[in-house]
Order: sequence, then structure tokens, then C-alpha cells
Amino acid sequence: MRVAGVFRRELRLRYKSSASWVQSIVFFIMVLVLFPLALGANLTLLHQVAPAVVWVAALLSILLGVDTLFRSDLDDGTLEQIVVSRFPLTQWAVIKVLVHWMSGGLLLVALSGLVVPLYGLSMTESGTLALSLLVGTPTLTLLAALAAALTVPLRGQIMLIPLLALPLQLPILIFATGMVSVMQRGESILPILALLLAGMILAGLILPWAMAAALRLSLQS
Amino acid sequence: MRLLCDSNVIRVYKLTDQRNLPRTMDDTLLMHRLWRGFLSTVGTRPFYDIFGPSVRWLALLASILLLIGSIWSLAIAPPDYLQGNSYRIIFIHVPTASLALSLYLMLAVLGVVSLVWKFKTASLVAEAAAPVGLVLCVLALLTGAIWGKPTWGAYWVWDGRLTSMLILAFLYVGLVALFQAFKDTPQAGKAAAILSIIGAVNIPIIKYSVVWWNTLHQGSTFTLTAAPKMPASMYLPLVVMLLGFYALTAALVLYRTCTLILQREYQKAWVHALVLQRQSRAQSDVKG
Repeated sequence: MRVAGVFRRELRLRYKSSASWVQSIVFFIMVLVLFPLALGANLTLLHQVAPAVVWVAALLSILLGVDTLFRSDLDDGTLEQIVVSRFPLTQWAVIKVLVHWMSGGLLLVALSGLVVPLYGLSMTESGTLALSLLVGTPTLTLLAALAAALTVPLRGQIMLIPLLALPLQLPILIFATGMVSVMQRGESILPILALLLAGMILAGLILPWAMAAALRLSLQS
Repeated sequence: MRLLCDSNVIRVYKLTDQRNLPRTMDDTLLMHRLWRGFLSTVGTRPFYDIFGPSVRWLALLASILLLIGSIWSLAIAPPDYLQGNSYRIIFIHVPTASLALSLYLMLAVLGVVSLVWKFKTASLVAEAAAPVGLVLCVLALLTGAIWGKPTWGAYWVWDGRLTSMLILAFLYVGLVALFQAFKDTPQAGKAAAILSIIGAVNIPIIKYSVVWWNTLHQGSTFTLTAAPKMPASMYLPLVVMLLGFYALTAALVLYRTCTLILQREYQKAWVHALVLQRQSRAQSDVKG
């Protein structure tokens, strides 16, 4: 029951201020539109770079949007109340990341269909790209949220979150962009899909504990 | 305490102190004695007293080994039948790369230790070792690129080993940035501990990248079970250089840790006494 209550609260908070989640979506669309303009109308080139561009845009928009994930809760005292109320901090971190992903990574999965008009990908290629985003963005969001939890007491250090999160997110990026090219070659995407799913499960098991430890740390200042 | 207590109370306390309290098995088992002995050394002052003097002889050992190793590897070891003399950069590349990996593993272990047992010294050693590891990792990447140009024709390829070593370099940068951002607060050590533990997943990826992927980088030459694939005239100077680099890194990390201990514990009486002692010795040197 209390989990549902916390979930509803986080949902209402997230969608109350449309500025927070709309900004990362707008950034994603902007990057998607900028690349064809910069590369010229070379359709074969666009066809080749589309998965990489979509993935880099998704990664950057996740990194940008995760900065204020925990800071507002630290500022208004909610974090202390959660710790004091003995509600499991790991569950609370998972709920926050889930709500953030629903308004971030999940929307990016849908918006990745824009590659069909913008980059000339076929429907099956776009579907594979969307599947890779669906499986990869939870891991990316969890890792970015860990970096955000580690740097919650620090204000004004915007570039620290990408610096901390990127080394861990790079393997996901490398594997996921390979998924569409594997499909284009006609091979099975199941091995890469299995690796990405394994990464997601591993991240989902370990990172909430790390995030809770980092959040408890931020209260000790 | 003495001012507040009645003299009768003090007498009762002294009586119970001298009574023979029953001893348990725990106090006599070897492992427990060892553990207690170890625990007595993890304070900042014991660490400084034990490891402070060792910096000097470690640095001496490192200079001797590196001198012998450099002369042996550059002048005496024979040229490679394929690469000629350009292979000699291996004598810097292999030690720095191996040390960058080992230092990160040490950082991960120190992270676990400082989170579980909350030793302040563990996070101080981690703070001292992170920049050293960063420089070693960057050196490994640079020497590898310099070596790659004449042998592979390219300064850089995006294969498994090089990409995962680049990721390791970024992990080190993140650790150093985290220590810098949380300057002088106790949260620095704990936040860096969490990051170093999570980043330790990269270490097996680096180690097995030459096994899992088709890579331009060569496979492992030294294993625990088989004879090395290099001739003795080449791997002996490599071992000397490796030992020299390990001694140098140990000296650097311990020196930096001792400096950090003095900086962070500046309010303690023993640091005051040490500084006064050094000052008086310096003054007497100047006068005498």
C-alpha cells in the first residue's frame, strides 16, 4: 500500500512541473533534427548514422534530465523524512528512477520512430532501434541516477554527473548501437539483446543499493 | 570525572577494575589476536608511524630497480626480430598498464573496506592513490599509441582492450573529480568508495577483452601455469621494470597518504608535536 502511495506522489510531482521532463524530450528531438541539417541531405550517410545519433541523443538527454532528480527532495526535507520513516530507501530510489524513466526513456522509445521520416530507416530497423532503447534506457537512467545521488550535496557542478556516469554507460552505448547494424546484416539480435537485458537486471539489482547508500551519505553533511 | 565523583565511588571503580574478569575463548584465538593487532594499526597515527619511514627506502629501491631496468631494457636486451628497436616501449607500457589496473582494484577493495569498517585511513589511501592511477593509465594509453603507430599503422583503434582502458581512464577522472568536489569532507571518501566499487565491473572486462573480442592488441604473454612466451632476455628486464614501477607507485601513494594524514589531522596533538619538532630541528640546522 505505501509503495503505491509513494509511487502516486512521485508521479504527481513529476507531471506537476512540465518543464522538468519536457526539456529533455525537446533536447532529444532537437539533436535528432540538427544532425541531418548538419550532415546535409545525404540519405545513405543518414541511414548509416541514425542508430548512433539516436543513442547519443538519448544518452545526453538522460544525463541532462537527471540533475534535479534528488536535489529537490534534499532541499525540502523529504529525503530526511523518508530515511526517518524507515521506508526502504532502496525502494524509494527505484520508484523515483521508474517514474523518471516513464517520462524520459520510455517516451524516447516512442519518439525514436522519428528516424523513419528524418533518417530514412525502414519500419523494422526503427523497431529494432526502439527495442534497443527500451532495453537500454533503464540501465542508462539507473547509472545517471547513481551519479546524481552521489553528487546531490554539490550544487552548480553540472558536468560532474556526465563525468561519473559516462564510463559506466559506454558499454551499453557500444552494444546497443551494434544491435541495429547486426539486424541490418541479417544476423540474430538475440545475443546483444540478452547482453543488454543482463545489464539491465544487474543494474536493477545493484544500483538501488548504491543509490540508497549515496543518499544516506548526502544527509550527513 | 575526578572532580564530579565522590572518593568512595572512585574506590569502588578501582576494586572492580582489579577483579579477575572471566576470559573467553575469543581473547586467545590466533585469528582474533591477529585481527586486533591489525585494527591497532589502522588509525591515522599508527599508519603514519609505521609507513612514514618506509617511503624513503621504497623510493630508494624504486630508483635502483628502475635504473637497472632501464639500462638493461634499453641497451642490453636484444632487438625484436620483427619490430626492431621500437618494441622497447613495452618496458614502460606493460608496467604502467598493469599498475593502472592493480591500483583500480586496490581502490575498489579500499572502497569496500571504508564502507564496511569505516576506516578513515582507507579513504585517505584511496584519495592519495586515485591521481597516481590516473597518470599511470594515461601514460599506458599514450605509450600504447606511440607503440601502435609504427607497428599497427594507427595511433588508436576502437577495439576491446583500448576502449575499456579508456573507460578506466574516465573512471579515474571521475574519482579524482569526486574527491576534488567533496574537498576535505568525510563524504568524499564514502562517495568515491561507492563509485569505485560500481566501476570495478570494468576490471574483468579489461582483463578478458583480448579473449572475448577479436582485437589488434596482443593476448596475454604471462600466465601462472605456462612458461612465458617471451624469451628470457626480454622478460627479465620487463620483470625488473615492473617491480621498479610497483615500488615507485607504493612510495608515491604512501608519501601522498602521509601528507594527507598530516593535512587532515592538523588539529591533533601529535601532529602539532611533530610539526614543532621539525621546526625546531630546522631552526637548529640553520643556527648550527
